[in-house]
Amino acid sequence: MSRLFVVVVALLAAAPAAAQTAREARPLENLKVLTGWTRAEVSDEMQRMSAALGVKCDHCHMQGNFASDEKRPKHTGRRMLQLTLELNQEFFPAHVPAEGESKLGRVTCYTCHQGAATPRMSAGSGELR
Amino acid sequence: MTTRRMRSRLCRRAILSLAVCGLFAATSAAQVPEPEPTRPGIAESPTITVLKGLMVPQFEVEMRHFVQALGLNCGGCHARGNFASEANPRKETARKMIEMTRSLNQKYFPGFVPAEGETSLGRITCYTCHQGATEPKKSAPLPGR
Repeated sequence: MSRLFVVVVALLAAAPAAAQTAREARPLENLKVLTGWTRAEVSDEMQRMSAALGVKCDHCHMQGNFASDEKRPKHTGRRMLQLTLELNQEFFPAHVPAEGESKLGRVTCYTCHQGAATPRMSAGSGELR
Repeated sequence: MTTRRMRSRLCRRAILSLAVCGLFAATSAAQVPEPEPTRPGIAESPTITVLKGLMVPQFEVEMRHFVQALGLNCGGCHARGNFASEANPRKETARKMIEMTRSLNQKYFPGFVPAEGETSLGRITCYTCHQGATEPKKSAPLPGR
């Protein structure tokens, strides 16, 4: 009886961890630019993007369907990620992000956006055009 | 006799008017080589290797944009008293950054036309990343700093 109890407890304890591993192993749907990144890395970059642009998830994603491409800003987001990756590769290839920094490289979303959805062009300008 | 007199009078008049015309032509010809009103030329120098082909006023506008964007003065990149000098390594970095900005604008914002007074670089400017600081930021400043 006590042996059965131990087995049940052990199974219950292992279940959430197993679910977590399964979730991590499941590939992210519709990932086109950050390919090869782990779920945790993508998730971390998404948090950074949100903070850098001062927007929430639903700025780019459909609520309840994150894989959907329906929203235009998602396409812009992909393009801008591409721009940033290329820029870092070509102009700052030696930069190695420190612990807790964006995996993108020296130039991040925040570098230009600094909390605003539209980056600024000059000192006098607010959000231009 | 009368015809002769008339002829000589006509002749004299013709000579006079020719002389007046000649004088007029001479004075107007003398006005042609006058130096043209100061029209701005293209900023040229052996050390202008990246920002080429800009008219002098636009070149100066670009320099002022750099100053504002990086929070420096001319001495940030230029040796005092010799703007053409390459002594300051920041000048070479700036060139690299201008090339970077140009290639970005060309590839990602080709349809953008800068408005009057804006930098000719395009949608992405020095200020876009630098925002008044020599070193552009990577992330939001940590709270309490």
